[in-house]
Formats: sequence, structure tokens, C-alpha cells
Amino acid sequence: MPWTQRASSIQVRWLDMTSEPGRGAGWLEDPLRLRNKDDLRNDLQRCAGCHDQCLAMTPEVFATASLRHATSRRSLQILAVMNGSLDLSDGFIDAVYGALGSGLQHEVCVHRGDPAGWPDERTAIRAARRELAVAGRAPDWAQGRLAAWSATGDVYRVGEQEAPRVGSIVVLADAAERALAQESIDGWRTVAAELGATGFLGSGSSGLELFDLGFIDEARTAARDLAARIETLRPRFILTVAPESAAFIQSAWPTLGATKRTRIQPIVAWVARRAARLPLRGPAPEPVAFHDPGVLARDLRDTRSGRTLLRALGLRIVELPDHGRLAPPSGSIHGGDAGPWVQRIAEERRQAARSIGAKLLVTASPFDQRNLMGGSPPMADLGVLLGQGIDGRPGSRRGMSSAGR
Amino acid sequence: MSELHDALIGALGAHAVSVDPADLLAWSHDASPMALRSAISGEAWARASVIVHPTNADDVARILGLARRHETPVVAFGGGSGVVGGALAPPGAIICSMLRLDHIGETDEVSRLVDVGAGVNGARLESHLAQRGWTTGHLPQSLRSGTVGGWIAHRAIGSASTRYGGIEDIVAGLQVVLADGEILDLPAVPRTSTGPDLRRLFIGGEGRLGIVTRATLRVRARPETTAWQSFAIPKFAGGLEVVRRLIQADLRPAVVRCYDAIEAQHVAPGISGEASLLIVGSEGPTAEVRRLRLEVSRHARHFDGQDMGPKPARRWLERRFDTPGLLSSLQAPAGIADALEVASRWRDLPRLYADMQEAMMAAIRAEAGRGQVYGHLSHAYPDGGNLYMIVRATAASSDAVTTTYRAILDAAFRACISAGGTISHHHGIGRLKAPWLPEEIGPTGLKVLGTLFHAMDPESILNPGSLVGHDI
Repeated sequence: MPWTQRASSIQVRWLDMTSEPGRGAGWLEDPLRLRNKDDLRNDLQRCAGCHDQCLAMTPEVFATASLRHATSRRSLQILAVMNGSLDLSDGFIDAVYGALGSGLQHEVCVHRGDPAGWPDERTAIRAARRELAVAGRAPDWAQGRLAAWSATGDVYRVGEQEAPRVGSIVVLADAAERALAQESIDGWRTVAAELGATGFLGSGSSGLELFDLGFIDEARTAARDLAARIETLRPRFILTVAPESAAFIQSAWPTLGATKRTRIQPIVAWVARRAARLPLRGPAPEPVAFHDPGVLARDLRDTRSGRTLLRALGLRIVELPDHGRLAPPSGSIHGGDAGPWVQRIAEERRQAARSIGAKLLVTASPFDQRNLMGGSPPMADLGVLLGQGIDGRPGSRRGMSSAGR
Repeated sequence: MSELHDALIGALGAHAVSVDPADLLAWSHDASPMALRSAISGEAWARASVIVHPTNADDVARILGLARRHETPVVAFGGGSGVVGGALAPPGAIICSMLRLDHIGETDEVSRLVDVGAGVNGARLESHLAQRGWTTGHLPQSLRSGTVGGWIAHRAIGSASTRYGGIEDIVAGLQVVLADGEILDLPAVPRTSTGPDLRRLFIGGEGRLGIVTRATLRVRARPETTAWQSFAIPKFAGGLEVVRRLIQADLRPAVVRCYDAIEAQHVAPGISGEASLLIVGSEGPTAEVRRLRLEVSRHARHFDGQDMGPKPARRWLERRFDTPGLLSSLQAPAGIADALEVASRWRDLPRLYADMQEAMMAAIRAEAGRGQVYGHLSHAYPDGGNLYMIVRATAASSDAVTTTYRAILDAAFRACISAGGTISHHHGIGRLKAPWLPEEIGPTGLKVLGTLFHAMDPESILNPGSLVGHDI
């Protein structure tokens, strides 16, 4: 079938978000910038007409050895579908859902610095995923997340949730960390308690995964539900264990119609500012490398907090070749089964850590933690290290309830 | 599915063959200006029938065997960073994606050589080597998007060429699959006099004489010190003269770039008037770098150069992969943008610059367009240097883009050849420049190339139309 063949009868409704009364097409307003279909088309054209200077920062290309996943060529495919000249083929679906969407391409885009802004492929990927989701063409693993949330209120089908704890400062454990990094939650809560933050709230979805996978309406519902639960606790601060959740809530909730009256920030940043108050004692002072979670480093512009806390533990940091805002993704997010190729990406990161003599690879995101687990050097979650470092008591959890874990 | 498709699946497995329309689109273009325009507008510039993903030379041999049997052209495709249409597939062609040939071998630290697959991405190779203290020194603008095989096919060069040379200096050995499926191994040797150096036959061959599947590259220790200098030189001709004298005094900074007055103001805001901008990056042992810095300053001062410190050079270094200006011109409805890299001996270089600028501007005006032509030197040798002649223009209408662009190219290359230059310093010829190659190498040169092509690829399955032949 030639690629120029017109798209099938599947309805293509790019960014037509007018189903939300009074909200118009504004769900992608600032900071995601795009406001309508024409903006999206313009950005796709600018990206598709580029010469792939972000190619080396698109690990899915090299993990799959396929230009299908190159940013500009993926934009070209999306543009062609928008224009009706490309069908929703299996290859297209793979390109759209195989995208790691780390934001690294945006960071190194050749349009960087253009006063008119520059294309962020994540916006286009999300829009394309929505089209595929609406058309019922999202891959099974993505549909599985939706089905899990529909059936259990949790995108990972984690069982019973710990009861919320009221407090002026509430630690929010979103779906991913509950499913993928329970020890990280424990560690961060130990540290937070030391600093007087004793509130807690578990979530089956802030909408993060659903939004990212293109299930926008469902993400809206999940976001509003969680916002309502937060309201009942009336906290002053919400501290998210996953930086991804803080970034998502900050940037997307307002346009999803989820009320956010409480200040929300990643717990790593909040704790880092109070590191001097913590009685920390770290493991043996061997060189450690910090893998910057992409959302923390790029979207939240925080490359210091993780390092501040590692130093507070007395650890010596050796920097990976690409770190800070240029840190590559460690693999796929939201538990997506993008295939065995994602393991290659994680192994490359571990190799980079080995090359600089790191004895430990540390990160501060449940997604990165899961991706980097296994192999050498061993991976440690920053929250776990900190929790163990409080008074040198491994797993110390002052004042925490273990109910429901 | 076609018989060819079935045969390819039989030979390589279904996982290595795709006719998915999304893939045919993804591999439909390289980075040549008109191909990018076509991609944006949704028109196919070239249409392959199938994408294949070999993992080794034997796979490539099987693909070529089937291509011969089915009389179907084969185009090797790396990262798609070429800017002359060398990888634009003719209708119905097989695209042979090289990205699965991505093995990077252990560095032979005694001989300072590394074996790499043709599909290895440049930035990933440099990152791999950097973790071990090495570099190839091949750092072109396509570093992040290009592959080793593509660099070899187009006879590429990197921005640090004065110290490290072009890809032809960095390649020590090659493995090539010939059109008949035979695999030619040309092992790494420091030099040979066993007749013509066959390695050189394939460097710049644009995939017409065989498909490069592996290369042995020379590596060097990463430099101990790097230092950057920038100077405002009153005239572009003066800047060129500084470069000539530096090189002819056997001074070899890694990076030497000289921008004319127009481009200088883009690269270093604050530079004014007719001043050109000279950027020099020296690297190596600290003592050598110190000496180079002093010598560069001395030569620049001799031509009334004003020392601008390292800032403009560092700005270039930081932004050297960014091309928002060119891309925005290209993406405008009637926009035209290109950077033509030509070269000549020193004696002719000022004339080459002036003649090409004048001819290109005249062509724009003749087509009722408007625009600007400017340029810089970025590679220098004892006997001459290259020039990047950059055009950013707006055609009279979007319908006139192709005609105007073609007129600009025609004027540019005729002026280049007339001034004693070569129409390609390091991008290759591809399909874009092929119409002007006969004028440069003449009928005898064409006969030599044609004889080679016919002898090595009698069925003409290897990338027909690139270098010599059709004008897509």
C-alpha cells in the first residue's frame, strides 16, 4: 500500500477538545504552548523539515535500529496522517507509542532559542496517541493500563491503598511509585517525617499515565478525582515522590479542569532545601553517579537537588558523560511494554556509569529506578538511600503507618 | 505482496523487511533542501518499495543478489543526513537501512584503531570513544545524525579537519559488499603501494561501487588542552590571507573558520562593518596549544586583527548544530536555503567567493526573487581552502521555488567551475549536483567513472542516479 493512500474512514479529530464545555481547545495551552490544530501542524512541519540533529538523543532509534522512531520522521508520519496521506498503519502506531518522549529532543532542538518557540515532540506524540486511542488503535499494553484504571481506579492494578493521613504537608505517592517503587515511598516518608511532614496520600492515578497514553478524557476524570481527595486533606504542601507527577500536576491539571489549590513540588527538591537539618549518614563513600530523571532535570529545571542530597549523605559524585538537562532517558515510562529494546537503553546507561568508575547508580524517579534495575553497577533509589541514612538505621520509618502496604 | 518482497523475507526474515507505509515515508528523504521541502508538503520525493534491515555483510550480499535477480535498484541508507540527495531512492527501489550494522569493536590501543559497523551513528561513536579517552576527530555538523557509512560514501569532513583530516585520512580499512555479492575486505594498513589504494575507490563512491558495511578508523587520544580564539579582521580577503599564512607556516589548529562580513554578524553579534570573523580552535598538548595561540595572534595582528577573546568561538561551538535560520527560510512557503561547499586553490579563492556571490545574487534577481548570499571558509590546506556559499532567498512565489533554486545552483556551480573550483568539497555529488559534475570532470572523467560503474555493477543496481546519471 503506498503511503500516499488516503487515510481510512477512521475519524481524525486532532486536538478537537471542544467536548469540554467552556474549555474550548485549551488543554494544551502554556506551558505546552500549542493551542490548536494549526499550531500543531506548524510545529510538525518545522520538525519534519529538519535534519535530525536530535537523532543521537533519540535512543529508541538506536535501540530499534529504525528511523521510524526518529523525531523528525515521526513528525512527518504524524503530519501525513493529519493530512490524510498516511493510514494508521502498524508501523505508525509503533512509532507513536514507542516514543520515549523524554524531552531531550526538545532540549537540543535546532530551533532552540527561536522567539516563536520550538517544536516539542511530546505534544505531537500525545495528540497522535489520542487519535489512536479514540480510534481504538492504541496497543494492547496501553489499553491494559486504561482497563486497569477503569476496573480498579489504579493504572497498575495495585491492591488496597493505605488510608490517607492528614497533615499540613502531605506526601503523595502516585500510581507508578506505588507499583514500581514502594521502598522509595518508604524512604522518602522516613525523611519527610524527620522534617515534620507526616501527611500521606496514595493515588491510583493522577492522570499522568492516562494523559501520556492518549486517554485524555479519562485522565481528566482521574485528575479531578485526585484533586478532590487532596482537597479533603487541606494540606499546605503536596510533595510527590515521583517528579513526573509534580510536573504533570503543575502543567496539565489546570487545563484538564482539575483544581489545584495546594502548592505541589517533588519531594526531592523540598528535602534538598532542608538537607542540613537531616541527621544523615550514608553508605561507604564510593563514587556514585546520579542519573537525572528527565522530567526533573528538563521540565522542572532541577539538576541540583539530587546531588545536594547525595553530598549530604557523604557520597562522592562522579558525573555521567551526559547528565543534567542532557541526561538520556533510561527506557520507557508508564510501564509500557515497548519491547526488549528498552533494555538496551538502560544497559547503555549502566555502561556509561561503569566507564566513569561509578560503584552505584542513583536516581530519583520510579520509572528510572525500574528501568535501571539489574546489572552493574547496582542501582539505588535516592529515597531509599536517604531513608536508610537517617540516623544510620536502614529502613527507619519514624511515625509511619505500614497499613495497607 | 510482490515476489521481491517475499524473496527478501525468505532471505532475511520478516523482522528485517518492511513495506509498512509509515516506514516508506520515514525513509523517503534525506536532508537535502528540496527533499525536506517535499517531505513537509507531503509529496514523496522518492518512493522505495521496501525497507530492509541487514545485520551483517552476508545479509547485504543476499539483498544485492535478490536485487540483481529482480532488476531492482538498492540504496544504502544510514542516518539520512546527506544534503545532496544521494540516498533518495528511485521509484521501486530497495532501501537498505544500515542502522543494524552498529557494532563498535574494542579499540586496538597499540595501533589506535577501532572497527565499526557502517551504521554506527557519529555522536554515539564519539561518546563511546570518549568514555575510553579516544576520538576519531571527525566532528562534522552531521555528527549527531550521520553514520560512518554515510560519511565514507560522501567523502565527508569534520570541523576539526586541520588537525585530524577528512574521513579519507581517518579510514584505515574497509569492508565492502560488491554488486555481485562478493565481500571485499581491505584490512587496516598504515599505507600500501599494492597498486591504486582500493580503499580510496569506495570513499566518496556514494554507494555506486559497493556498499560499505564496516570500517576500521584511526583514533587519537583526546586532547589534553583546547583553546579558542576569535579575531575581527578588517576584510574577508584579509581573513583568508591569515588562514593561508597560518597553514603554510605548518601551524595546525584543529578548527579554522573565517566568516565574511554578513555571516560574521550572525555568528558574533557586535562585529560591525566589513569586518570578517576568524575563529581558531587549537588542541593538543598544552605546550603546543600555547605556541599555536601565540602564532595565531601574531598572524592575526599582522592583518590588523582585533582580538575578540574566546567568546565568539565558544558561541559557535555551542551552537554549531543549530540551523534555525536556514531551516526557517527553507520552511517558508517560497523559501530557499542551501549551503554549497566548494573549494579551490588559494590563488583563486577570493575570485571564487566574489564570482559565486555575484552569480547567485544575479540568478535570484533574474527569477524575481530576493535574498542574500554569504559565506565562510571552514577547511584549509597548504594549497587551498573550501568555501561555504550560503543562500537564503525567497522566490517570486511558492510555484517558482524549484525554478529559482535550480537557477541559483546553476549560476553557483558554473561560476565555481569557471573560477577553477570544485563543486563539492565534502558533501558529495548525489542527485542534486549530478547535472553539473560533467562540467567539472569533463567527458574523459565521466568515461572513467562510467567504465568503473559498468565493470563493477553491470546491472546498475547500486544507487543509480547518484553521482552520475539522473537528475531527480
